[in-house]
Amino acid sequence: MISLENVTKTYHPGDPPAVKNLTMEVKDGEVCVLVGPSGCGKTTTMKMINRLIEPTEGKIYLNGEDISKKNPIKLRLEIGYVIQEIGLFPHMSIAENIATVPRELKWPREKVKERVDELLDLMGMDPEHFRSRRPGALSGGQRQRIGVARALAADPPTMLMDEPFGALDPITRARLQNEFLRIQSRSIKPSYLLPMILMKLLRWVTRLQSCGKVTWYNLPLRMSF
Amino acid sequence: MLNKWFVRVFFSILLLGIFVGYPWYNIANPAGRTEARMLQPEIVWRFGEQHLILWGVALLVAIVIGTIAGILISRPYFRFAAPVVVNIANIGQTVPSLGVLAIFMGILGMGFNTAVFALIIYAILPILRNTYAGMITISPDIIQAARGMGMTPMRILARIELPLALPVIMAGIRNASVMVVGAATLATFIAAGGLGAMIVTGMAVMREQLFYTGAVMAASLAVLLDYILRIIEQEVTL
Repeated sequence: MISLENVTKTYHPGDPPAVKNLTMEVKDGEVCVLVGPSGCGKTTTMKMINRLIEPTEGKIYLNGEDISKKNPIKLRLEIGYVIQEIGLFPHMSIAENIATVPRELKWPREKVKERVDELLDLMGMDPEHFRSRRPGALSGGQRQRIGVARALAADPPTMLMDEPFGALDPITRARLQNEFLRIQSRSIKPSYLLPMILMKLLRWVTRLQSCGKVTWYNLPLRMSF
Repeated sequence: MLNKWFVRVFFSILLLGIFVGYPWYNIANPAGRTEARMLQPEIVWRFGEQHLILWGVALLVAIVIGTIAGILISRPYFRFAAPVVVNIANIGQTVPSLGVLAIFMGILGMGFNTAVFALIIYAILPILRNTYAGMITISPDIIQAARGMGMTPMRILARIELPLALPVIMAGIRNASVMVVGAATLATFIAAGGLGAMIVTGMAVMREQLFYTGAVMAASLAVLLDYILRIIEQEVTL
């Protein structure tokens, strides 16, 4: 469960805040979507949750714990994270990219390999074919899938996804969104609850909403529909 | 694969052949008595050995200092120092190599240590500059993704930043290596030996066989070492 209490972020003193007095709550198993025009503070809100950015005011709780009192490294290892620009490591193979967090957590080699293959399968990419390739050899859509697979690798109880389909053309995006719906429905298990924050995905959101799992939050600042 | 290594080994042996074969031939066939006095196997090989040691020590120390300094000034909290450090290193580079030797001779006296010291100063710049450039040109998205997934700064440095900057760092090291082999020929002026001794002596007594021997050895050594470093570069960055 993620809860934000009166969170404000001002990048430069005197400037209008990027996020102002945001209070919201995402329950376990819930998918939360932040929607809004660019510059309204969606990415800032997300980055405050895994402490890439520290809030100026207010408190953020993850499963009841104040995150400002947690070790940021530990905190981030518990949160799956997909950034807007994907940010795959170009010098590592697909398998090594996906294995980033499990390796940080020092999983045994066999278990890591198994997990990588499982995730590639889940993403609809043949492990035999893709495992040892470099990100440079992939198409845009495949890269985004690897970005998501990498975030899912250690089975994090919480996922933050920042426009995971931002850089795609409409057709590929639609296909991937459908695929992710499938993945999500497959990967939710009792122990695996999925509060997700997704951005600007109106089409997908409508689909999700019809499953009855979506909460909406209007960012109070400069919100428009 | 086999083909690639065949070419590499072939050219390495070819260059080594020039480095060894040319002085060997001249030792066996000195053009006159003056040449014969200097073209003794133990003298020529000692000059070659001194040259290699000058190169190796200077480059090794310069790699350690240059990469560490380059990494430090690419960190956010030291980045303010980057222009200053790069400029100081640039000045070290602009002074002619003979001048650098002369300055340090004034401070440290003659001999091997002074030569090595001057060569280190000379070799640091390309390594430092390339390390810095390699580190700061890494896309911030990649670092951000790594941070967001919970990698510690040291792990990010070791697993993401250094491997990504390695091709640029290696280019700097190769650059420094060629410069050091060239500048080490001047070490003879401060009695630190090296292949320059043959060139300088040869020119002083107007015996071209002597300075050709020194020059060909120094040149083939520079190319050979650069070739070996290039093989290392290709192997570690693939």
